Amino acid sequence: VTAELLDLAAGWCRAAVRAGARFAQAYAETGLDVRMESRGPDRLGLLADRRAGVGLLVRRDESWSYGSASAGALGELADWLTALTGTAGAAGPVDWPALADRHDESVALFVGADAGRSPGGTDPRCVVTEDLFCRDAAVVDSDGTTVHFGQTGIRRRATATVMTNGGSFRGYSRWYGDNRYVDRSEGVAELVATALSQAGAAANGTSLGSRTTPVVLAPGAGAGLLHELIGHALEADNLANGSGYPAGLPGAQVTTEHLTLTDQPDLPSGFGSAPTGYLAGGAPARVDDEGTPATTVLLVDRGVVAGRLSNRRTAGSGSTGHGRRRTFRYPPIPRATNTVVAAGPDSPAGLLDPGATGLLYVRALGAGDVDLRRGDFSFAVTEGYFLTPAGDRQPVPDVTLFGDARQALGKLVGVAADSAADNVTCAKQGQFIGIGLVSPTMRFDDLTWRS
Amino acid sequence: MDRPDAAGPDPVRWAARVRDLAHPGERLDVYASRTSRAATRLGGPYRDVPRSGEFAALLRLSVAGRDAYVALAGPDEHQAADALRLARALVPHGRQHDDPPAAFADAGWDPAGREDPALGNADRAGTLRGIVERVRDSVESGGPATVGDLALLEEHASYGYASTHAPDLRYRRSLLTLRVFVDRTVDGQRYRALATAYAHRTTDLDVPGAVRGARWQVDALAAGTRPVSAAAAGQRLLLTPPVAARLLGVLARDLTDGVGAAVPGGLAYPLVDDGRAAGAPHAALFDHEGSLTGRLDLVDTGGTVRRLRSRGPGAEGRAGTLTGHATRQVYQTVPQPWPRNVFLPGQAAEPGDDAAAWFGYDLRGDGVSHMRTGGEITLRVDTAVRDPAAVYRTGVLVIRATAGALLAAVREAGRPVVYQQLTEFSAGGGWTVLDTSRLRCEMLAGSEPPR
Repeated sequence: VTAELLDLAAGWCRAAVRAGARFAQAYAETGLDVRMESRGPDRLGLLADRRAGVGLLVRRDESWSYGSASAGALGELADWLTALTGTAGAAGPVDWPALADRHDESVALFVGADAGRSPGGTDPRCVVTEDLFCRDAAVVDSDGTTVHFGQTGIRRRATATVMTNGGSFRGYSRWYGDNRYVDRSEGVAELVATALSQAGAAANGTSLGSRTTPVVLAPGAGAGLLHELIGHALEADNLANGSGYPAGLPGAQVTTEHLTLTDQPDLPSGFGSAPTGYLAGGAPARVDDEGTPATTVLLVDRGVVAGRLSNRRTAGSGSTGHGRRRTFRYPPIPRATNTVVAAGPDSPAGLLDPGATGLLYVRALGAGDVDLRRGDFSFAVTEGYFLTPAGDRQPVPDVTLFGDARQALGKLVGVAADSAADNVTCAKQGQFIGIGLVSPTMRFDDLTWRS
Repeated sequence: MDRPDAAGPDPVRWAARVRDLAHPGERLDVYASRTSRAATRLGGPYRDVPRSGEFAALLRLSVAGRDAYVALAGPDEHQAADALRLARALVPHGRQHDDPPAAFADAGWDPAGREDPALGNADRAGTLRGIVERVRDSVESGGPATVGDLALLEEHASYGYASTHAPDLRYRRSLLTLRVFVDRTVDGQRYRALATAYAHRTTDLDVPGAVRGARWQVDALAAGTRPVSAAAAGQRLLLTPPVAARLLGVLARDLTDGVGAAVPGGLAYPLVDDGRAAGAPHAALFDHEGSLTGRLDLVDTGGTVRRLRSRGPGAEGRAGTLTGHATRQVYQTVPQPWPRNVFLPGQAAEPGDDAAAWFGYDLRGDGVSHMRTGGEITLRVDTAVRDPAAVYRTGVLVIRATAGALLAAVREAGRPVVYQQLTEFSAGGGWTVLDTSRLRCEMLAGSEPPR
């Protein structure tokens, strides 16, 4: 597989250079994802997603273009390159090679391992989704990059729905591992229990209206908020747009000196971790989807914004190795890998002091986004509790956090050292990719929330 | 540049060839699509961004009451044969399904109204110039606004379906997306709003309808602020068409998902879903399961929500017919029931530019409406007052309500003039009046306009 994919990528890179490209990068990929969904003992769906093709990034003068074609249709990529460059007959290899399917064993293990037992636990209120990801790829560019890599991973998610008093309440949990196969029996049961507990808490909760209180994010949750508030703003393409919010970040002291935030592509079992690439003439190293060594980037150093995430198009040879793509159909764009909050000096118990107003304890966050033009964010809380001044814990459903990102960052006052990990999918320009999150307990003073 | 007609095999012929690989005793359904896309920046020297195309297929194999899917990213028939072998290995582990009857039998599709010959003929440049003139007339005749960036996105697609157990189906359609930035500069500061129009043909692009909401938005952004309470501003909040479309998108998602609470009776309008609505982004003849689309009330005026279903077992093992709503997204396992094109079938008169109104010109928070714990959503509407003498911003109205309560608060709706294209479906919006006295609202001082 390796040699054939490298030959394909090299052939298309040469074709683009012959056609006048100042820079060309070819990405050849074959991949297979398998997705299973179950509710209690019932299978709700089973799907395999196969893909094979070539993507070609071309720079001519100051303009960049991206074309792609699947196996069996590589002639279309030749047509695209010809139309782009005006060079008749510009083409790389148009025949897709016969490749050994080396993922058969993984698929058989993944799909067949549940024979004879319930894959989704026994509770019909919970839907369990399991994904197996496999891909092999090669990248060759006109600056001398020649890399190949393979990557597999398994992700499981549980979504519970509890109906009560005519209302419907949800709970969510998820797990990711980069090993080829993990016995699902214990892990799934834990996921189901967590999702049901979350949905049950929401169903038994009480809406508290609009309040302004301290907000404490549980281990694993805070990194999700910072991924939106800081991570996306520091992607080099978003910085280059010149929108008001990102433009004001580099070099600024935006929050407490207790916050140090990094992007770490080499995290073991990180959902966003870069694959190990094999470089021509070099030692194996973590690489991004452009074959560039993926480096750890210090995004915030003791409260000061310090770094940015870049790829070849935005930084040339100075890329930090954060060019990521969903498949060969998509151009690589700057993306986070694993967003990691470093351990801070505070104790979790101290951060959870409800004080005179009480506080909102956010055990889990759901969907969130940031409007980079306004610097305005929104987040749904999927598990939240109000801690009363007396220390009682009261579940609160349907909590929404929103406000000005810069102001919210300024209200971060405490970071503990009890880190936990999470895994989420993130969409940008239509590309859904996996992101790892690691953070300890974190406390913000005086955020306004609504339930 | 000619119209970017898609290359590659005819989808229905390809689907039929793959279908013919089925063994006796197997049911094989093959859905295939061929799409080409191009973007043209208008308004100055034409700059065509090179076209791109893709072929995609979804195979469903059913044996002895269980089924499994394989998705393919290209037309390689060797890979299709491999995919079928993979499906045979997966299907014993697949879901148990049933085959409900289809609700719609009309396979008629008028290609003349769904494709644009003008973009493919010799006077393509003249057609594009005509669009620019229409945009300028619509933007600049209504006041001090000007046309900023302007782009036409083209998608030309063919779809085919072949089954061992059903007749072959096919259709073609173009989807044109006109994106116009409406600018207004006051005291050296530029304010900008985006207008988007969709149509199958250039002659059907409702440029004035799409641009008017953006003109009202940019007028508000450029205006001063006079904070007022919701009570002082009034109870009738007029939503511009883009805001109404985004609001309906949130409602339809919740109501389809089942998280939305009960809908009260006595609605001013039903919430209609039309799978073939002319010019709508998700208009289609059939869905990913080969079921024909049609028009139905997603919610009738009595508050009854119609449960959509696919061939799967469904959330409540529900009965019902197949209504052409089975759609598979990249993040989903198998096709799931989603709406296609929802709107309120109102005919209320549109307000004149000199009308006095308290209006909502932007919506925030809809991006996190999914993945919540319960049925209540928090939305923020940027509001302003417009009267013959002046326009001024009045802050942000925070609305906390269920989908049913929001639908019940709609008092008047005009014809849908714009669509909000979501990943799974589209929502059409017209000038719409919300009775805010029926909702829990609070008024916040506004933030600075985006820049």
